[in-house]
Amino acid sequence: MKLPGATAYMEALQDPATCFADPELAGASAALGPLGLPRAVSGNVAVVFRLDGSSGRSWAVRCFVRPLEAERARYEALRSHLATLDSSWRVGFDLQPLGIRVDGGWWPVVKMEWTTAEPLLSYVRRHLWDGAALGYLAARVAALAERLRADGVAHGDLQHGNLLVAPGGDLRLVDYDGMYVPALAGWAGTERGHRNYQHPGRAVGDFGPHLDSFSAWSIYASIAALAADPLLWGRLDGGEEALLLRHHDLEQPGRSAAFAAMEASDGPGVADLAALLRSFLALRPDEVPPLSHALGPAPACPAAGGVPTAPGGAGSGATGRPGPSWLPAKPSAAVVTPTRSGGAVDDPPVGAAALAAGEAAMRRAWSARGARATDETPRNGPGDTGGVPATGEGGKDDDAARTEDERRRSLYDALVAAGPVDTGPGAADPPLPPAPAPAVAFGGDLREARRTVAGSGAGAVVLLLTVAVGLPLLVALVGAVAVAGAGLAQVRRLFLRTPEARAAHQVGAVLAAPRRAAGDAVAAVDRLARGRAEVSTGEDAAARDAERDRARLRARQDAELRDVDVSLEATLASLVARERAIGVAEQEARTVALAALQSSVVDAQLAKHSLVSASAAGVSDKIVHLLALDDVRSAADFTDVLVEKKGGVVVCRDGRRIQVNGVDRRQADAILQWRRRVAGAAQLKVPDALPPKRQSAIRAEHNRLRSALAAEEESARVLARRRADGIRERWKAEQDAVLQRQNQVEADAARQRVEIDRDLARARKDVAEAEWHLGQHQEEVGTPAKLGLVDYLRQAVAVGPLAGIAGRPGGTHRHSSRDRMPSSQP
Amino acid sequence: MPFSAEISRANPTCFLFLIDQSESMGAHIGGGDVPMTKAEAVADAVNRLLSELSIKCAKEDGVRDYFHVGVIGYGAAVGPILDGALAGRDLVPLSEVAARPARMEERTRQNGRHSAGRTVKFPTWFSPVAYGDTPMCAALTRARGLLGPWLADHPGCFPPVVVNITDGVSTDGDALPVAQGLQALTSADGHVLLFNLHLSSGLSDPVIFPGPDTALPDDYARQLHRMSSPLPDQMMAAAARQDLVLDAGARGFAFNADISAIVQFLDVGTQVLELR
Ligand SMILES: Nc1ncnc2c1ncn2[C@@H]1O[C@H](COP(=O)(O)OP(=O)(O)OP(=O)(O)O)[C@@H](O)[C@H]1O
Ligand SMILES: [Mg+2]
Repeated sequence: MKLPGATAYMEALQDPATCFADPELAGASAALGPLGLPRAVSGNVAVVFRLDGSSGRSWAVRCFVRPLEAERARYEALRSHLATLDSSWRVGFDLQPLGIRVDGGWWPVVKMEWTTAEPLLSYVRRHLWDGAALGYLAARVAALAERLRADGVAHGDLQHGNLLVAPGGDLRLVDYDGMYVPALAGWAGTERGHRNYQHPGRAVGDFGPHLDSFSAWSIYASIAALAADPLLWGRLDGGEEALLLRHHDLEQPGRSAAFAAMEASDGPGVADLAALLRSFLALRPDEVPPLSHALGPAPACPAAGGVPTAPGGAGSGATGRPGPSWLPAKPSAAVVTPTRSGGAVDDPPVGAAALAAGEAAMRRAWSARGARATDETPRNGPGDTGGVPATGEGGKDDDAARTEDERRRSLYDALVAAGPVDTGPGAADPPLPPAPAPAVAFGGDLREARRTVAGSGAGAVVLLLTVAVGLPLLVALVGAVAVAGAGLAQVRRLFLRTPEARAAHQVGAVLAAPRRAAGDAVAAVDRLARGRAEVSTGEDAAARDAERDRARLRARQDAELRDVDVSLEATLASLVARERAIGVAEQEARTVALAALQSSVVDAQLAKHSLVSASAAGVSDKIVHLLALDDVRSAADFTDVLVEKKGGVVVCRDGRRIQVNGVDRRQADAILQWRRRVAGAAQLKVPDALPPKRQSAIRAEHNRLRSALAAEEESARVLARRRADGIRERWKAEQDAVLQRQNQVEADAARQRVEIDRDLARARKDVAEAEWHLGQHQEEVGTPAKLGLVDYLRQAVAVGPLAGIAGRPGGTHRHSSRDRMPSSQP
Repeated sequence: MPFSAEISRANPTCFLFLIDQSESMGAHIGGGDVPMTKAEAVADAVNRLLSELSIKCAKEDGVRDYFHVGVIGYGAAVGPILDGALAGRDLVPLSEVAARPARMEERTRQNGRHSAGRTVKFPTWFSPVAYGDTPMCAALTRARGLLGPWLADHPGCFPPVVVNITDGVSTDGDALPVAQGLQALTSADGHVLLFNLHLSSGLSDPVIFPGPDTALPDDYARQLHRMSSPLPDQMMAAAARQDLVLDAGARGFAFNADISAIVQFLDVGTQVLELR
C-alpha cells in the first residue's frame, strides 16, 4: 500500500490526540507554522514534525514518505546497542511500526527526542568568516568519527542534514535508518547515503564499520578547507545541499570544478586536503582510512599512536605491513589497482600518511591563516613545481599529459613533504626518492644571488621564504621583512634577468589580459559571495537583536505584570484581615446582644414584683408608699438601699438616689432581702442563648459586610486582570512591531539574496567562460617553465628541508578547467 | 545528459499547470470516495500538490525556492487563476506560494470505516470553475509566452514541466503544432516537458503513461499522446516506486483518468528532485 503523502501527514498532525498511538505523542501538540498548520521539515525519506508535550519535553516525529527499508529487527538491534552507550552524539529514538493513523490506516513513525542543536549548514554559514570556529568544528568532526568508531557504530549517512551542532560545539546525529552496529554484522545495507557525501563506489548493500570513512573525511576536509579559505563557499555554491563537493565532483574528480578550485586555493593546506580526498576516491570505499582525531606522527613512524591501517591493504593478501596500496611502486609503472600492494616493504601504511597529511594541512590551515602567501601572479594557482620537471616539454604539461600514477605519486610526495613541517628536517626518511628538485633551472647568476641572500641576512630570507611558502612562522615575519626587504628586491632583479624569467614574462604578457579577465570574474564572484554572506550576517544580527529586544520587552512586561500581582496580593491580604475583623465583631455582637437580652429578662421579671408585695417581707407600708411617690414601685426600679447618716437612701435603676425617711438598717435589710429573693426567682427565667431570629439577624448583618468585602475582592481582581491585559496588549503591540521589523528584515534579506543569487549565477558563468578563454590562450602560447621567484630563492638559499616543504604536487590542477566548456553546461 | 541539472535555489525549475475550465468540467468523475466534479477533483489534486511541494521543500530555514509554480486556467478566459494575495501572478517562487494560500478550507477526513469524520484545515490556492469553451491553443501559447523569458533568466535549469489537464477537444484550433512549439523551448539541460492529463468521461478504463506503441482508443487520444513528452529517468524511477510497470519511452500522458489516476499522474510527473 502506498505511503501517505506529506500533506496527509500534516493533516493527521492537526490532531495528535487521534492520530498517534503513543500516549506521550497523543498528549502533545504539534509546533505550528505561520499558517497555523503543523510545521514540517523535510528530508529525503521523511517529514519531521516537532511535538511539544505538556511537561515541557519535545519530540521529533519522523513520518516516512519513502518506504522505510530498515526493518524492525534492525531498529531493535540499534536500539539495544545504543542503549549501552553514553555518547553525546546520540539522540534517543524509538521506532513505532504502527505509530500514526492517516486516513484510517496505520503507518510507522520514529519518535526521537527533539534536539535544539543547529543544523550543520546553517552553523557553517553563520561562522563562515570565523576560521577558528570552523577549525574547531573540523576537529569536532574528527572527534565524532573517532567516537563513533569507539562506540562500534557507523552512521551510514553522514551529511549536513543529519549532523547538528549543539550550543557547546558538540555534534549530534539524527536519522539512524542506515546505521551499523556490531549486532548487525553480516547484514546488508539498505541505503547509499547522501550522494554528495558518499564515495561513488558505495553500493546499497555495503554495510560495516567502515561506512563513514569517506563521508567523514569529506566533511572534515570541506570544513577545514573553509576554515582556511572561506571564499570557496561562495565560489562553489556551498550550502546548496552540500558543503563544497557534490556527487558529480566525487564521480569525476578529474573534471570537477570544485576540486580544481580547492586545489588552486591559496588557503594554506586546502590543496593538500583536496588531493587527499582525490586519492581516497581512487580507493575502494572500504579501503579509505578512517578519519582520526589522534592525527598520527610523521609518516616515517607508522607504528606510533596506534594509527589504524587501511583495511584494504591488510585484507588484500599483502604480508606484514601493507604498503600504500594506492601508490605505484615506480613512477613509470602501469596503473596499479588500489587493492594490489605496491610491494615497497618500507612504505608507511596509507592511514599514517593520510592522517599526517590531514594533520599537516590542518596545522597549516590553523597557523598560517591570514598569512596568505603573496604570490606574484595571484590567481595562478600553486605556482611551485615540486613534482614537475622544471624545464619541460612545454605546451601540454598538465593533467592531461600525466598518468594517474604520477598524480598519485606526487600526492604521496606532498604527503611526505607535509610530514616534516613540525617534526623537523631529517625526522622523516621518505621511502621514495623525492621528486627532482629544479636544480638545473637557473643560469650562472645564482652565485650572485647567493651572495645577495647571504649579504642581506640569510636567516631573515629563510624566514621570509618560509612565510612565502606558507609556513607558520608569522611571528617572525615582522622582523624578517624589515631585514630582508632590501636584499629581496635585489634578488628579484637578478631573477628577472634570467632567461626563464624573461620567457615567462613574454608569455605572461600574452596571457595578462585573459588572466586579468579571469581574475576579475573570480573577484566578482567573491564580491557577490561576500555580499551574500554579509546580507546573511546582517540578517542574523538583526534576528539576534530582535530576539534580544523581544526578551527585553518580555522582561519589562513580566516586571509590570509582577507589579500588578503584588498590588493585587496586598489588596487581597487587607481584605482577609478585614474579614477576620468582621468575624470578631460578629462574635462580640452576639455576646453583647445576649447580655442585653439576659438583663432585660431579669428586669422584666423584677418589674413584675410590686413593692407592695414586699410588705409581706416586713417592709412598712409607709416606706412602700413613699417610694411609690418617687416612682419606685417594683423590684426593677431600684438596685440598692443604703443606710447613711441622714437616713436611708434608695439607689434607683436610673441612678437617682432617693432619700427615704424612715428607712433604717432593719428596713433596708428587709427590702434588699426581698429584692434578692425576687431576683433569684427571676434568674431562673434568664435565657442562655439568643433566640434564633436574633442570631440570624446578627449573622445577616455581618454577612452583608462580608459580601461587600467579596465585591471589593472581585473588583480588585477584575481591575488587576484588566491592568494585566492592558499591559500585555501594550507590550504585544511592541513585540509585534519588533516581529514585524524582523520579518521585514528577513524579507529584505531574502529578496537581496535572490538578487545576489541571480548575479552569482551569472558571475559563475563568467568565471567559467574566462577560465576557458584563459585555457585556450595558454594552449596557444604554451606554458613556460613555471619557475617563480620562490624557486629561484630556494635555489639561491639551497636549504634542504625547505625545498621539500615547498614542494607540492604543483601544476597538476591549475588548468584542469581547460577541458570544461565556458557555460554551466553539465 | 539531459534532465540531469542539479535543482537548487540558484538554479530552480518550474511547474506550470494548464487547467481546462470548460463547461464539461462540471460533470462528475469516478474513482473517489465522495462524488465530485472533474473541476473539483482537479482543483483538489493540484492544490494538494502545491501543499505537497511546499512541505517537500521545507527545510530548517524555511521553504526553499527549488521551484517556481504557475496555474493557468482556460475556459471563458485564459489567464493565471491563483487567488488571494497571489491573484494575477503567473510564475511564483515556491516559498511565496507556501506562505500565501488564498483560503484555509475545512475538509472532512475519515479516520476509519466506523469512526466519525474529523475536520482538518486544507490550504487552497484556487477554486474550481466550469464555464466556457476549451481554448487549449491559447493556453499553450500563453505557456510558451511565459516560459520563453523564464528560460532566458534560468538558462541552466532543469527543463520546466507543463501539465495540461483537460477533458475535451480544443475549441480554438489544432493544438498539436502549438504544443510542439512549446516543447521546442529549451534550457541547457533539455526541452520543456509537456504532459497531458485527459480526464475520464466515466466510460472506459484509464490508460496511464503509455509507451510509444501502446494501442489507444481513438484519434484524439493518439493526438494527445503525440503532444506528450517522454518521461525522464527520475520520473520513470518514481513510477517504479509506485509499482507502475511502464514501457521504455513511456510518455507523460494519461487518457480517461479517474480521481486516483489524476493523483498518481501528478505525483509521478513532478518528481524532479532526486537528492540521492
Ligand atoms: N531529533 C531531532 N531533533 C531536531 N531536529 C531533527 C531531529 N530529527 C530530524 N531533525 C530535523 O529534520 C531534518 C530531516 O530529518 P531526517 O534526516 O531524519 O530526515 P530524512 O528524510 O531521513 O532526511 P535525509 O535522509 O535527507 O537525511 C534534519 O535535517 C533535522 O534538521
Ligand atoms: Mg535520512
